[in-house]
Amino acid sequence: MKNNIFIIPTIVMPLLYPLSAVAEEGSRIRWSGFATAGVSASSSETEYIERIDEDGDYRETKLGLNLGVSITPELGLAGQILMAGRERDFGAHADWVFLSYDIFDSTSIMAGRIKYPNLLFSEIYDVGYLYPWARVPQEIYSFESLGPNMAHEVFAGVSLLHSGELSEDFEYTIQPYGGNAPMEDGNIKKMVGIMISTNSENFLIKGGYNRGEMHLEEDHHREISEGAIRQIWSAGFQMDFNDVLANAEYVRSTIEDMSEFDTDSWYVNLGYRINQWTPYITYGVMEQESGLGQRSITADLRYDIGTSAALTIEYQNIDPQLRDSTVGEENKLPSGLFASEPSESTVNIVSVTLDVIF
Amino acid sequence: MYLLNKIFWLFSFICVTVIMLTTPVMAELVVITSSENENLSLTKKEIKKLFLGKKKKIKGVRLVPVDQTNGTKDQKKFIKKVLNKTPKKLKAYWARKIFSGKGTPPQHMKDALAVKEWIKNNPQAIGYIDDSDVENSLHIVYKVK
Repeated sequence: MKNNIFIIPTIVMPLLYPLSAVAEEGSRIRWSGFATAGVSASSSETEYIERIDEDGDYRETKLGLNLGVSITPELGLAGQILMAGRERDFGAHADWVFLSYDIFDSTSIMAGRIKYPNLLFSEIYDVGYLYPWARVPQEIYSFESLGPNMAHEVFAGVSLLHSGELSEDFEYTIQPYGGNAPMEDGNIKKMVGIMISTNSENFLIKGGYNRGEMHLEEDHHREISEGAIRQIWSAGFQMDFNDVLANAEYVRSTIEDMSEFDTDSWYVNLGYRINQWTPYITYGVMEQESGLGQRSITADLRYDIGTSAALTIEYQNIDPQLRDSTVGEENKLPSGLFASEPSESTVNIVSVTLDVIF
Repeated sequence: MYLLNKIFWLFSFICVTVIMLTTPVMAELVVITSSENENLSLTKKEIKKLFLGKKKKIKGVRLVPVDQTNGTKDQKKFIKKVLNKTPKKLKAYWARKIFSGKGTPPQHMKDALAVKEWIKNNPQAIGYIDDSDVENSLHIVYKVK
């Protein structure tokens, strides 16, 4: 329900805008969009990330509409309306919407519902066209309450964005922010964080830190005390050089006084572009002190159709590890990002996605 | 007759040579603003920053870039020689910006004529056209080599 507060200004504001102003100064309102048609099937009857099992799943499918409005040369509004199978059963909602104001040419302040910026793909989590996989590596990007919840989706708050040059070839971006972030089973309150990145034409290095107080709903399934401090450190690397593509990311998360939930996750991804075709290979790891974890090998083959569409075929092999019996509920111990222990020692998942941007 | 024939061939030769030599010059791409910015001169790097949305002001002057429709000859040349990208990489660059709310690409104009008209009426606008399309009311800030 909270999100409806945001969807109203997103849709209504541009409509209220006088059309004469648009005609005079060009398109001050821009609509863009992205869509994914996706299907996945698993070799196991045990659900993976709360949706994929042997019956097949189409919830990678989604549609996003993005809006950019220039209210004045310095003041702008940006927003995204999302209909995704992975949440709310395809219900349209404002995924994020914020106002931004340029204080200086290269510094702006943003306020509203802002996408979490720290990880390589956190801001574009749903834009399948912009990454090699059918879904971003879940060892890091899972929102599952059974897992480490390293990725936030959005937070309501404020943020500062500053960019500049380090040298002739290197640019930098710094983004400090603060606010409250909703989670699947509660909220992170008094959250503060910072993202720092540097990039050249072909390389990007990104680092981040985030901390906040965990406030979980009463019926949550975790043994975490009210107001416990959660901290997340992250580092990422990206390359696109001479048709060799690479993505690598590491994230560590800790929860105050609960060292069994200390989690380290990382993945390494390599690809090679051959005209329209790009094969990729990814190795991902998640390790929690409690014993919970998983390792996965993912092979992707992407076929680019023009400059705005791509077809991806993905094969993934996951080796989940069970949480120690000393923590968690009885009878239903999570295993990796599976709800319980699959009967197979490793699980295969095949996915096909068609991604477009427009 | 012999002399006439010789002159004909010599004339033809000169014509062909002149056409061959002038063609590349005629196809030169230039970056333009309104003639109101007559003292302004920009570097390739500054133009790149403007067209990639990394800067909105250069030397204290606010400039608003306008692009040509996808696929025009001028646009292909501009992307390659000034932005140093492929159309696909440029598209992905803007997609990342748009879908994270961190920027919007320059406005697209139908063709070089539309760019010209727009710039004539908007002193803050900056665009690119073929050298042969330049008029008095426009000011060249950079020649694409």
